[in-house]
Amino acid sequence: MGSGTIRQVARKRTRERAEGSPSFEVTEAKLYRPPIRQGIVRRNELVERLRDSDAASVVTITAPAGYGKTTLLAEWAERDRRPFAWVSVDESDGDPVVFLGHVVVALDRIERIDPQVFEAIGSPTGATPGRVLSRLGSALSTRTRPFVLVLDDLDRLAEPLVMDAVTTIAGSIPNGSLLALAARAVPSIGLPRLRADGRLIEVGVEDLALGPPQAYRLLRGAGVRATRAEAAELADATEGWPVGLYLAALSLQEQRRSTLPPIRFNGDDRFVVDYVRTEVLARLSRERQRFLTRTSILDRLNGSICDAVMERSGSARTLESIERQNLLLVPLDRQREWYRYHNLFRDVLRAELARREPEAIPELHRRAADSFESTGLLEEAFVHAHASGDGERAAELLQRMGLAYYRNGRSATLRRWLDLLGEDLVARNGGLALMAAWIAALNGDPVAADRWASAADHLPLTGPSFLGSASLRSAAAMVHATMSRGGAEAMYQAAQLAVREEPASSPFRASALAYSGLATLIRGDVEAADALFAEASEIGEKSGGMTAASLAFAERSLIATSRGDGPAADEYAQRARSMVHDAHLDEHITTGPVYAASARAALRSGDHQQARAELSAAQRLRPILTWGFPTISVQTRLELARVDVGLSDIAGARTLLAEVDEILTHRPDLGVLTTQAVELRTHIGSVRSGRSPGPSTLTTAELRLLTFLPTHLSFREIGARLFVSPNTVKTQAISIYRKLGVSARSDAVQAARDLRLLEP
Amino acid sequence: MRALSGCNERPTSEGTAAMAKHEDALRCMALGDERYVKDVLAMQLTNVDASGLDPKTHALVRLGALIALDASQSSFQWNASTALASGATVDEIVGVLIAVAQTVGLARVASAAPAVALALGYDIDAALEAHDEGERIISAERR
Repeated sequence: MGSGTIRQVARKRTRERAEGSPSFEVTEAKLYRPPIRQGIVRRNELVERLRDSDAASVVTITAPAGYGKTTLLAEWAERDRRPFAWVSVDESDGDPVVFLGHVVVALDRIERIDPQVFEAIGSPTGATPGRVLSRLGSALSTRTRPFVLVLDDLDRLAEPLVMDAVTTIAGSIPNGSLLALAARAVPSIGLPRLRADGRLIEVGVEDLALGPPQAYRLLRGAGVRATRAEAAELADATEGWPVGLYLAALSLQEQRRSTLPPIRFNGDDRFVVDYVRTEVLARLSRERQRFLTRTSILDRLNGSICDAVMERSGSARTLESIERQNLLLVPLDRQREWYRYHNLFRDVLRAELARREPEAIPELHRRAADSFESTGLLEEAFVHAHASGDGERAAELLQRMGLAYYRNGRSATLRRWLDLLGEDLVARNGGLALMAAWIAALNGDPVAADRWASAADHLPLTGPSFLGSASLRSAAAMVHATMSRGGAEAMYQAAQLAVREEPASSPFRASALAYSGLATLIRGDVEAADALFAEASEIGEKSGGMTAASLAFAERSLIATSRGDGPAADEYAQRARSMVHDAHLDEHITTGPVYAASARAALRSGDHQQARAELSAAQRLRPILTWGFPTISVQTRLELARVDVGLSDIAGARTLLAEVDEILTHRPDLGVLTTQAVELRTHIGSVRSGRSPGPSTLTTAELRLLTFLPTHLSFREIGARLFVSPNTVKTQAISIYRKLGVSARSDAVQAARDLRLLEP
Repeated sequence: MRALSGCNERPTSEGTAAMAKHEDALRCMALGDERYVKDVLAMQLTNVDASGLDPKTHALVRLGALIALDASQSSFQWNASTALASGATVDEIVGVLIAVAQTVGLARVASAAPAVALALGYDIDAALEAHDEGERIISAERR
């Protein structure tokens, strides 16, 4: 499967980012525009309609399988002057990084896309869809050449967050360009609005069904001698269903029959299965039938994988001949190396395999897994290993995939695979339990993170480290240090273990040193902590460990502040801040203290506006600064509360302190931070606050909801994505409106944007 | 769908503007929008200084009144935010419910408890549906 990497594309335009070398696998097959096959009936009128689509932004082509949606798109692409960016959607697009990555690459091949967008996608902390989308949105609106972006097979996209991305794209298409969607059912992406504005073109079954003249042409094109009357009869019998007509043509060609059983599409796929089995498969040799059914377990096939599955040779030639004879196979590249089965037939063939040889299926999957693994395609190997019922093997493969996927921000994929493996299997594998804990924590789910971390405590740690550290033991130690589950002393011990295990100049050593520093700091030894932070920042900068370096500088800044050394504090804060900016760490957990240090520096110099800006940036981090990362979360909030006090915003400080208290109920032993929280609360307890609650009193849950307000989603749909009841959403929304001083959703969005609580 | 306008905009023409105005007025009353209350209803939102009470006590006393009046969710919401912002703790807010129970009666307290809970971020309805302690914790965490 030909693949380039997104990093390679980005590398041509931006300087290399030092931390690791994330590379995003571009699956070329997904971007390949299928060629127009021989004997296809041309649909001139429809194509004309699509070509003259000046007023429209979105085209939907909606019809059941076998109506020729992809073919129509391919024909239109050939005859339209505009360049086409083509993305064939599949299950891997459930990961926003995969979906958006391929969309961006496809668009980039037409007209250069801002490198910033690539950087955002390849970000090691996992692309936050919000950020990527807003950058993609602005990239789209700055296109100079009109284009058409095709998303084929949209129904294979189940993930709501990714569907939201499609809606956003639909809303950002510039004039003269189009988003074309092909699906079996009308996608729910806010189409009514587009329809009302006259910006939607809809192509459906009525448009795609073939009439008598077209049926005649199709039959002639397939080499069948039929009269126009016979063709008309057939068109009537099939109600113009192209695949039905095509199957009929195949049948007629081989059998010279003049009448056929009626083959309408009646909406029931089982009917199609029966028909294909009796009218198509039955006419093939037994050997060919076995080839088709057995290789149908593969989503994408080439000669050598088929050889492995069938335990024979020569499959490449077999595939070529199948493709020549009929339309069951769709080529996925120009070299005719990779194919896939036409959707309709793949389902039929699989059903047939399950009917004929159910006991053979696990073995077939095992062979496929072997073959994929030997060529290094671990994701496919994993899917087949799991399908073969070999959970242990699948678990081992996932552990190996972990590092590359984590680095490329594909934690959504990892989470999906972990779910697929199932809790029992993950709970038996130390490396995977640790991975699950870490991903859960990064996604703001401290309950699950704690549960998985506890599971990992009792398990042996063998296998590769998904973090890329020297060993899994070292990774475990770092996760434990970051999650501070055992209190300040345990945090220190864990961090020191990682320090000892890591090679002298690795970025992970820098991280371990930074966390040692934090542990030392909360134990009350400021001098020693400062020394550790100094070392961490130095090694971090040299080795490309930017998260560690920026965190260390921020901590040094805060220490300098506590000593009254303003100039040093300002300098460290500045360095931390520019590192965050250059390395795109804006939404990383370690950036909390950086914003806090910058805010305090701004306050010191009297720049209240800047202080508020830094506060707002930090607010966006609050949803992931949970008790999953207690030390950083508490420290950041305490520092931000101090800034609030400096800005006379007592209510804001109180909001932050309330959250600190909540974190402390889960993790009470945080050394000096615990006492500092009490002191701060006492200090402001006596201060009168005259103003009514404003934006700084937005709770973390309200901030989470805020990010959904700009979308088209209803409160109920938002509740479904946030796993809360619609009642809660409504209450929180009202609270948000009040705190922002507005009474309408769009005003709330605008106010939040003005306050930089949302991306513009 | 007509765009919603603010609570204090002046009508520019008759007819539809008059209709728009009443919708906005109702919405603003439901939300307790500050500007509307001050400008149109001509009411003083808070009389903290005049009362001589500190802000926290003021908010907690008003909460007692709201409970007695069987107020709407929106009123409890705003009151809770104000109380928290003035330094009240969650326990103190719940303490008010306890304090007034004998005076306002059990029925009022039972009716007010879910509303106060929701204002503090705890969805009792969702918790009743939860299968186990873990889920109940999650519904409380989502504050």
